[in-house]
Amino acid sequence: MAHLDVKNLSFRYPEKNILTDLSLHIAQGKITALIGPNGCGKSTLLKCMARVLMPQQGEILLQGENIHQQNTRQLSRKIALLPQAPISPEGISVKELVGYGRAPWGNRWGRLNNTDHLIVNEALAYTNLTDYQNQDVSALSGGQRQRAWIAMILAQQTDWVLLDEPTTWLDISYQVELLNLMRKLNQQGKTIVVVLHDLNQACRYCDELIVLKAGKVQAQGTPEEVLTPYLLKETFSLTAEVHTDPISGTPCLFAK
Amino acid sequence: MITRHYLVSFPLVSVWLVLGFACATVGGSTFDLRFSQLAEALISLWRPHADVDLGSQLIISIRLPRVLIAAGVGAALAMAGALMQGLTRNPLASPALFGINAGAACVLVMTQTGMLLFLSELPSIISTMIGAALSGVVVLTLGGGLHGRLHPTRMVLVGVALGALLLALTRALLILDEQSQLILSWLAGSLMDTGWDHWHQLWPWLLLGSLMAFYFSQKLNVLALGDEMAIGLGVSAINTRLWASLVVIVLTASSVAVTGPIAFVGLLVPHLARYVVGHDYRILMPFCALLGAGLLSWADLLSRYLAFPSETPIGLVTALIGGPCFIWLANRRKEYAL
Repeated sequence: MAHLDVKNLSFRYPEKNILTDLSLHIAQGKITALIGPNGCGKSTLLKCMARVLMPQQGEILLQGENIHQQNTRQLSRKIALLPQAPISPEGISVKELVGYGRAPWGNRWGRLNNTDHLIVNEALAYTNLTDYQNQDVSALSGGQRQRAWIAMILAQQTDWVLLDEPTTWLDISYQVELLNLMRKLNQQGKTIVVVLHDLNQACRYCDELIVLKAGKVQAQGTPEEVLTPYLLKETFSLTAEVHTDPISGTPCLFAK
Repeated sequence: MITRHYLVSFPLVSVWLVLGFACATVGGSTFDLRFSQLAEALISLWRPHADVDLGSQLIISIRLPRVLIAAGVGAALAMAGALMQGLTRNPLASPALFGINAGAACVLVMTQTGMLLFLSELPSIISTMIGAALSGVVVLTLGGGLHGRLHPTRMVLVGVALGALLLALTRALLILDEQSQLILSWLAGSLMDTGWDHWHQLWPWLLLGSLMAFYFSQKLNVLALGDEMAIGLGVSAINTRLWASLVVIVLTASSVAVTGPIAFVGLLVPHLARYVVGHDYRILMPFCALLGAGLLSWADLLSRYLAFPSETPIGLVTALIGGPCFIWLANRRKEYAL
């Protein structure tokens, strides 16, 4: 069973400790949200999982193998990352952008073969971007652009997908669209780890929540287990009531 | 919609290069040269025979290597500029603006004036490589590289300041050493007194640098999506930067060793090229090479006519062409994010 284990992970910038001796386990096949107050280290943890950052201590094991000791190209066939602020380069079409998702698989010159083209077209269709495939990426709306990035990650064909605050800067309708897309990816068999700000969205769309505070795991479990008034008080210093969302049946918080 | 015209732009730029090359080989001479003599000269290179007239001999022995060097240096600096823009993700990056040229020139002058005696026995490209590498390290370090986040504006400021400082230092060295006019014109970027031996010194590096630049072009494309994205796609951002920097050093240092620092080519050509063929480095690299080679061929021709019959350093010609062109480009293009 493929799973991700974080063992005794510590990460610090010269001036500040971010993660201290953090251990957790993420099972395959679920959507896991990393939540916590600003500066709790959730994005840092995700970047360590994506080997963008190198932790000073501890290790992250995927199927028992330390990801920081693996060939980065090999690993990019297993884990995909959508950073918080990817740069959309000027003058490339949506289809070309999605084609970059084949970088870990295709040849090093970026030439796509028939299989690659098929996969790219599928990813475009899946994200409803087929009609936009020849448009300049910089001409897309925020929501479309985020979908294009998701399509790229889809074309990467990894079992694991890491999303760093994918809904930031999106209008609410695009946020919902994106979260539904995320769920669709999960139903396709992808394991998703996502950093989210909105706790209600996290409860509604994710199977498991990991709450971080000051670089440590505060709680881990299903939304029903984790999202309690006590935890909100402890972690976010927020007095709130937790009710059941009438539509999804998941916990939903109301601040007092 | 994105439309691209590779089928038009590549033949056009090739014609521009070939025309510039041919005109520069025969034009601007006090001795009357004709294109037929260039043809004659080129044929005799393949099939040496005795009855070559004086004009053709002149072309073979003096003109041809000189224009080859001009074209080669143009290609090298243009590719170096494009590489630098890719690896720093800064549209203003270029060998001249980041002080790489000046660093190479400064260490070479230090070597030649006897300040760095241990280097004087070695080929001059070793000195220029050391200089180029040192200024590169300084610009990247002071430009924010230490904190893992390159700061575009700060890099340019550091580069310009460093370039000015090194140039002043180089001039001071030359004045103290009472060097001849020739070195001063080399410092402005010059093709005077370059010959076949210089070409033989240049082309292996040029070939190596170009091949490596082409090899890294797709990695630069991926790097343009941001460091985190690149790593996610299996392209190590640090390794790509290191290797691409090495290619920049090879290309710039080999050019400066022969012609001195020539400004504006590394900045202007990639911008023009991006405007024509777009931002895909796999296309951009060869296009920059052709465009840059053509530009310096034409500049060489101009350098003979500007103050005929005496010669203007080619670096001044590129600055004369490049300055206004760049102002025009900067005004008509919106700022782009690399």
